[in-house]
Amino acid sequence: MKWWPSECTGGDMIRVKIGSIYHYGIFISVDEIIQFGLPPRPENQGSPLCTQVCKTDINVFSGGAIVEKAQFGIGEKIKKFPAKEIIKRARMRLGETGYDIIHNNCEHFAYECVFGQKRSLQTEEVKKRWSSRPILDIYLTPIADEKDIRSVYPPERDAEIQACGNSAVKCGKYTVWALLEYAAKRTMDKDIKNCSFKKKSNGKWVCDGFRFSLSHTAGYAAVAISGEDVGVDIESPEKYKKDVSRKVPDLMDKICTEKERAGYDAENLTDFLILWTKKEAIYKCKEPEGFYPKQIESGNYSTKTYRIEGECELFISVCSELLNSANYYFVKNGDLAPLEKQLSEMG
Amino acid sequence: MTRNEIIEKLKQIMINSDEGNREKYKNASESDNLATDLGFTSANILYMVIVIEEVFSIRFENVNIADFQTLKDVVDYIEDMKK
Repeated sequence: MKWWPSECTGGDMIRVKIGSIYHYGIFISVDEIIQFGLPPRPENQGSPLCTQVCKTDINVFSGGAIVEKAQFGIGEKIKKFPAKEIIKRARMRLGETGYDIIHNNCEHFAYECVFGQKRSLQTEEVKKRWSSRPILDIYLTPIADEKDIRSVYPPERDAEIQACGNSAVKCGKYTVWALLEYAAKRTMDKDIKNCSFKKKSNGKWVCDGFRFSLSHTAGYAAVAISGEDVGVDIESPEKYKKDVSRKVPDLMDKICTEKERAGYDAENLTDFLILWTKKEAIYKCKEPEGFYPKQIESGNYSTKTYRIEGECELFISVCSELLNSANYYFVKNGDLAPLEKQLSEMG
Repeated sequence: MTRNEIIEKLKQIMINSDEGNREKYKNASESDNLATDLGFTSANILYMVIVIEEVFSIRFENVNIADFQTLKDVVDYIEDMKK
């Protein structure tokens, strides 16, 4: 369908540009334009006719702007109703209410009068742009108590959780999956019960509707969800404060590449946590054969590491090509709060 | 060094690194999964690797963390290195 200004006759589908959007109607005569809602201009604001199928003349419809007429292609000409039928269908609906900018707007109405079914190319375009936007959301939540564990989907993951001999791990695995369920719904508008999951030979869970990565550590679980490959890792410095912190130089020796030695302090626990979480996130995102920390050159990948302060003290690293679009959230008892203010970038 | 001696030393390493889980590590068996039964993260495995190097006087070159799934995997590795 193309649009350009031309002489109108009864039954034509017409539109007029108002700001960045178009207002649609059915032309019957210069004194009778039928449309769903008055044109969205300041002078019409507050009128009850803004949300019902109504009739105006061409001056009210156009507001002095150029009116364009739909030029149908061959296929559309076959599908459309004859002009008389279009006029009849438009008039029959005068007074109808139920305006909805997304699902039942002026374009839906005009399209339905002409073709017998609702369609809004403007809405479709917005939806297309929205669904193709870069998506990367990272969620964090406290680990649930064992008594709060309920069954999860798919049954294979549920069995994996139930089989955990270690209570803390069981709670971590359950919490991170419950968080994934929440993230899938909120970020992707998907019910995970409608997704197909499988566990790969390297132990990583994947599904058909989106990409995700899971991590849990002492007290907290994290989920990164995206349209592209993603890896996330969280570590709590708390568990490193005793004996382990004395071993930092040895730990660094096991994971540092030659290049990384120049940029990281081999005796600093914070540096170890930054580098370690980066490497784990990269491993989860890129899935190389085996996890050889010393073979991962962290600087070659797109990663970001933050220290989270406040209610929880954690280091979090994310590996993704969409880091500039990342949103961080904290979820507690079903309440969601942005996490940006508690994040300190560490590299 | 026998297999049992290796396991007992490994248990001691685990207890020293995490006294709070003494009972769990004391009763650990070879078939225990490091992550799901003993609660190890990959960072814990890395830590265990460096302590094992000290205690058993062996050197892990280019460690693949994913190689160690069960306590048996760790014992097998040490046994091989000690041969």
